[in-house]
Amino acid sequence: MSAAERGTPVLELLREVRRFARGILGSDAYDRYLAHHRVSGAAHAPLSEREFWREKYAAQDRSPEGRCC
Amino acid sequence: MPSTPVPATPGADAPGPRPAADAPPPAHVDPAQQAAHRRWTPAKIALWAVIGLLGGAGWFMLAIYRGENVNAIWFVFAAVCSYLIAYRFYGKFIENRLVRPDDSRATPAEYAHDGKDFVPTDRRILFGHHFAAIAGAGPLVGPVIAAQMGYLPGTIWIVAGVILAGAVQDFLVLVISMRRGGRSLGKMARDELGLVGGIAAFVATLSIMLIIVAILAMVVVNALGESAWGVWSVGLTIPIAIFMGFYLRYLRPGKVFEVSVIGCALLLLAIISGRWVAESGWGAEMFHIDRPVLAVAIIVYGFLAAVLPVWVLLAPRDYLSTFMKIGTIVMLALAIIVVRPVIESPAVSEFASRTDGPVFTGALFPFLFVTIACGALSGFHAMISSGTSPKLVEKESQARMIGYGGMLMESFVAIMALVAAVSIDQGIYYAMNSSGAATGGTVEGAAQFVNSLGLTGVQVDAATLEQTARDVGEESIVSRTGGAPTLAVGLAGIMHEVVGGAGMMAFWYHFAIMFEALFILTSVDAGTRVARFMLADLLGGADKRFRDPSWRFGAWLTTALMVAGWGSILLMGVLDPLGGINTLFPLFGIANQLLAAVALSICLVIFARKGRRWALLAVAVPMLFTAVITVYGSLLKIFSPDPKVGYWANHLAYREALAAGETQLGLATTAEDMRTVVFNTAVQGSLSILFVVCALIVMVVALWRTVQALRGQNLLETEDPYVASELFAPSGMLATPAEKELQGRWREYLGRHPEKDLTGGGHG
Repeated sequence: MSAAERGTPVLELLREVRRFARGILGSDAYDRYLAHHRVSGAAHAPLSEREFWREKYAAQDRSPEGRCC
Repeated sequence: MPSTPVPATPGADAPGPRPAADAPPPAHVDPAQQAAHRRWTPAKIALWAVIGLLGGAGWFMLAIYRGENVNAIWFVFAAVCSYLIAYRFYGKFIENRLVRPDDSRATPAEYAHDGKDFVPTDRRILFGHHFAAIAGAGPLVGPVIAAQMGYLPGTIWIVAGVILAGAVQDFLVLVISMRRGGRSLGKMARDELGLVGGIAAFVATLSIMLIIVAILAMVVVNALGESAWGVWSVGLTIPIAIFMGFYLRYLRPGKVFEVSVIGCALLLLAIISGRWVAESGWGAEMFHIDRPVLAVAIIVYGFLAAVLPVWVLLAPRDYLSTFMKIGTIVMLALAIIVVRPVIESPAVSEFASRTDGPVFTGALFPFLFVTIACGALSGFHAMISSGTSPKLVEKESQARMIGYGGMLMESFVAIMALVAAVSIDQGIYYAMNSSGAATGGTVEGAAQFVNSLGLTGVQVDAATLEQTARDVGEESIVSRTGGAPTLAVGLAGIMHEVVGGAGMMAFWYHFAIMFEALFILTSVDAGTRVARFMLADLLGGADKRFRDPSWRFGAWLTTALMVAGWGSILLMGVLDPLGGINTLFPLFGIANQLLAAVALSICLVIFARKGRRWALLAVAVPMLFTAVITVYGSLLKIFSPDPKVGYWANHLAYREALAAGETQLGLATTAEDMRTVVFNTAVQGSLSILFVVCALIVMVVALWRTVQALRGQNLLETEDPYVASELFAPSGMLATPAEKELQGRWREYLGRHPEKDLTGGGHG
């Protein structure tokens, strides 16, 4: 991002806070998927947001992750 | 400090003619350039001197000066300065001598990039993510229970334990898993230790998981039992989570942040409305539930939650739990700094040198070290450090920040929980944490019992206990064992001074209960699922269908078996005439620490096979220390002739008393209770034996393999092959000037080649 795109420091800070919050919660999963889709050069169209999240939760059903105590 | 041992490619980063305008910049900072940055300037020396002095002052005030009233702020100084020094020097030492990260090497996030499980993730976001996955109710409970021995032994163990053992384990497990494509601890055990060691590690892991889930569930049951307000507000989290699940699936898919904000607002409403419910006649009647009934409810809930699809309950509650976790911990840290509560507990209490404490039994060595597991050293973290996090790390050199740093953060949570627990009146502390059998469950009984302990300066009367219960909106606070209610009283005592005044104490109390219950229910649910999959994998050897997760019958059967496993321990604890938590909590700690010893043994073998020598002591010493405390603790639990400590001694005492026709002994007042004690102690004693035998097998096999490796024999290569990295990211929380410069070159390069940008341009 160039300096002009970043806008005022306050706006940029808010944007960073949002990026962090989304990242920690995992809300940015679809964006990451799209980024992967772009760089991997797949021929098929990417999943829609709704399909993606269904698939994601289904995958979580198939391989659960532990949560600590 | 020695410079990083990554071989410097001469001239790779030197000024001069570049091969081609389009050539990618190097994937790591030139070590020479980094070394220049690391030079000790006077300003830097002054900064570390100030950190050292502040930390020293903190420890001096806590350990030596003490005085009449110790202020909680000294805990913050002592802990935070120690963490900073440990992170900068000891963490770095381990990185240089043992880990030796190679940033020219691609991590699994890069070479196996799939946009889902394997994604290069901004190190600071991953730090938050990793922390949210490792920190739960554990660090909030152990220190509260250990406060029985005074604040000092617990504080020293939490800080020293995390620096020398806990953070080292998390860091190293993350590193070894990262070099193996994010492989799980169980798989690595199998790879490194062979069949016998692998099976022992499997049995140890599975049974330890069940006992941890059981005891966490018991903490919730004890916190919610006979508390209409608590049952109402925690119960409401279920429909709130289901609502969020439907919202995310059908209304606005992917709007996780939005739905978390809505869910959080609903949670606050659930807490506030609890007062109206608890104060209304119908509400108090309907939600005033006895502990055994609640235990059955949690067992049924645990089964349903683990067989339902994750989007219904688990995923949304996980979002809520993460949201609350980070928010509350930041809030509590700020509140402790603002309020600076005065510590009520002595530095070292009379119980530190006795074995008959009312909160937990046994001597300081080894039982303090197993009572505080999470926060100092938690074996369970090895499951997280090998699993999700290693698939997201961008650069090998970031592992110190995420693994070592993340665990330091959890340790700080434990310190805050300890501060909250030792800032409440000692009389109230003992009244809340002594078992119901000792206090009789009444304010008069509790006052009498606490005053009969004969502790200097500890005095409580029935009126104070009644008033405290009224302040926090509960019918009674007597014998609310398990740590959560004590922490909640401490937290309410601190928070109401910042927000809301005395009228808000009840709100803060239930807020604390709510977030602890939220973490625990998530752990229960996720733990049951993981255990079910482990069992299904095992049964899959006999019938292949078990390995197919869509086979509903198999999923239901394995879930039911696992729920029966932890559910029976939970029920046993809740119905235990001797009080449950105080007999079972040591088992929880021992189980968790044994898992840590297993994880550290695996790290030991791997680094010995990589040719490390003296630096192995950084793993061997904490591993042997953990082995000693857990094995010694287990042996005491198995062989101690003191019925207050040994399960079997207690078992025999009750058996003989029954045989002699007696109908009461100690805290058990009927023959029925005595028979329950006989059964429970047999189960607890057998579990102790199972854990220690499995863990000993793993440790012996691991030590044998380590000795072999030191002699140059049996050197297995289990790492994934080297893949050259084509991305760059800084290693620490803040980028160094050299890293910033290289980042700039990468930004420019990726601007020309967006197809190479794996992180989607999200990098600041």
